[in-house]
Amino acid sequence: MADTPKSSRREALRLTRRVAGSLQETSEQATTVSTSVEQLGASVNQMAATVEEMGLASESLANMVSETSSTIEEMARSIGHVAENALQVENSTKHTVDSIGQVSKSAQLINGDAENLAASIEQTAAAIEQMARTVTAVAGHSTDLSSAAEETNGSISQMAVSIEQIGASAQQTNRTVEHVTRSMRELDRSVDQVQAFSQKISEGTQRSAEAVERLDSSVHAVAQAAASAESVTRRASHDAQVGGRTVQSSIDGMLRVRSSIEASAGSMRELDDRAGEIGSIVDTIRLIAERTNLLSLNASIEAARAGEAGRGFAVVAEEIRNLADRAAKATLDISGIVRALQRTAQDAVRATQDNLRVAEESSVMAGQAAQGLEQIVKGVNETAELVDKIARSTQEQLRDSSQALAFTRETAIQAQSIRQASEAQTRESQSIVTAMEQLGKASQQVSQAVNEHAEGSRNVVKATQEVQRLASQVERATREQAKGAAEIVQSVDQMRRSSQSTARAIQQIAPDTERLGREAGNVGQLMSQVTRATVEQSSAAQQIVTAVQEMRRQSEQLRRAMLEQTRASREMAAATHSVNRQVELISRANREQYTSIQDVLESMEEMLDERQEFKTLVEEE
Amino acid sequence: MTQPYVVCRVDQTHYAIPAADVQQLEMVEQITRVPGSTEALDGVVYLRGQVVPVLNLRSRLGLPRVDYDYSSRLVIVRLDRRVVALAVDSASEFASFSEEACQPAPEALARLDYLAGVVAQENRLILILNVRRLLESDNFPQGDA
Repeated sequence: MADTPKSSRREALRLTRRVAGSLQETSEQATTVSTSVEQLGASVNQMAATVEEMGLASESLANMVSETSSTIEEMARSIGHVAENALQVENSTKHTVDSIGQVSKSAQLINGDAENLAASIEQTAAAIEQMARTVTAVAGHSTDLSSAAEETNGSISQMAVSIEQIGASAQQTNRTVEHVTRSMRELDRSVDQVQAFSQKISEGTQRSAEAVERLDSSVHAVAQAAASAESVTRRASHDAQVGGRTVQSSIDGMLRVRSSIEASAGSMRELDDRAGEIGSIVDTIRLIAERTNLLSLNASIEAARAGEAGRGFAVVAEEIRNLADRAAKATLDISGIVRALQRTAQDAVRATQDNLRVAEESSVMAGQAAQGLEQIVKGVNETAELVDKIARSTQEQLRDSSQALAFTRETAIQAQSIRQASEAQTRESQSIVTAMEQLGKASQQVSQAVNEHAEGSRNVVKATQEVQRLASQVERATREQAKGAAEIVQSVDQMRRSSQSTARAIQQIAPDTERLGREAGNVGQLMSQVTRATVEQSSAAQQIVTAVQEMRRQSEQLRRAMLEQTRASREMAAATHSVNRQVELISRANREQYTSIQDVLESMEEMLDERQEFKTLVEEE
Repeated sequence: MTQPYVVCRVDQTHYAIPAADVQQLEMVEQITRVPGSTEALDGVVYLRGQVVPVLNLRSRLGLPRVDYDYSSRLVIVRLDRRVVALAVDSASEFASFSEEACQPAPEALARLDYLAGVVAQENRLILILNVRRLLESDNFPQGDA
């Protein structure tokens, strides 16, 4: 019967330790989270205010958990006490039942012995007359036996009453265990809520991890864009420099063109000058031709005036005039050609001047283009520097983003672990509830057993009373025997022959007395068993204390873990408003837990009080 | 019987001056302007120790003046003791026309008394000038003989 609650208690202790273990694990994970989030916090300073708020919330959460821990400790201690007491009750009851059984057996023996005694007295009644004094002594022994039986009866009655009280206490214990089970179920519900909130936190962390991943990918895109911009800028710079060189060479070409145009213009002017010179020479020739014509005409006039004598002269003059006309005509042709040549040369000079002007303008424009290209190159170089800076800072951003991503992933993993731990806690809590239910069942069984004990005890009382009645009868008979013996005293001598048989009868009584002594020894043994049971109780209590200290230590670790968690929570800067809200909800749930656990504690204290009462009763017994 | 002429040109028209009246031909070189003289008088030139007035035939014939050039000629004519230089556009021919070839001026031109007649050639007409009438009808200051 004691096995079921004992194992349940052990189960409860084990589960509590596992809760503590998982909380410690949570603490370690929270420490890792703390490290990660600290680094993450450096990346996201602007979230510091939110983190601080969340840290404060987590701290109060830690305090609550600490209080919860101490309450659980106390509760465990109470459960330990209750369970131990129940064990002691079990053991003691077992011992008691055994003792009672033995007592009963002894009583039966006594009864049998008494019957034997009565028979012996009947047998020796005739012979007792000669053994009055011996019989008187026997009567005194019978009186002693009667009183001892009376005392035994009183003790057993008292024991029966105690057993009744034990039964009542067991029922109360049963009720208390039911109450504890109810409280435990409430606690389980709170743990469920905590688990749900952990789930939400995990989901929130997952979402924030996804957001950070998106951020990371966009930073990647920016980095790529910056890289391509850099290459484009580099190409542009290169192209602009090539363009600058091309423009410079075109400027050089333009200068060469200009100088050759100038040279060509000079040649044209020289040509024009030469043509002018030719023109003036031609003019001179024409003048000479005109003069020749004039002179030939004058000669013709003179020849005409000379009449017949000048006829030959006139012919010569005529021929000279013809030559002069041809010369004049030729000079006219030459003049025309020279004029055309001069016009062409002047046109060429003008065209050349136009070309020169165009070349100069082109040169100026090319110079401006070169200047513009230089500015472009400068601007492009500046742009390249800026793009380079952007690329560098984007690289840094990329690194930061990757770190943030890693940290957030880490945080997500930690959140997942916390969620898992919370789920484990839920499972443990449910297991505790199951154990408590089993404990309740066991307690009911205890109660039933105690009731059975009580009934047995009542039967014992009845049997003992029967013994007492028989003892009284024996006493009365003995007294009558004594009276008869007193009457027989006078004929002692006559009854001397029967004294031998009386002595044999007394010898028959001796084993009965020895049996009584053994019964007393049995009682002593029972007492020592009770004492041993008490010692065992004490040792069990010591074990409980150790277990409780272990629990306290685990609770301390739990508290430290919760502190770590609090610190980690404080440093979980990336946590959003929703996380903060979740933590507040957790705090509220913890307060509810705290309340539940206070209820549990009160129940446990009640149980402890009841056990104390029981223990007192046992000790009294 | 043929008569020798010096053929000159004024504008598009050729004129023939009897060689007997022509003393000589000269290039137009230095003409000294004489203020207050008649419109047709260009000025005076100094030729072979003689101061000779220059009559611009264009102006005399009612044509617009043009600048002198290499072709411009002074035809120095002598009438009695008068010597006058006629400025023409050019004078480069010496020709002889028979009296039969010389036709009288048409009636319509009878009032132009400086025309002695017209010589018709293949592709041109040559007007023969009466130098005396040309000079008489104008009021020149007379050059020294």
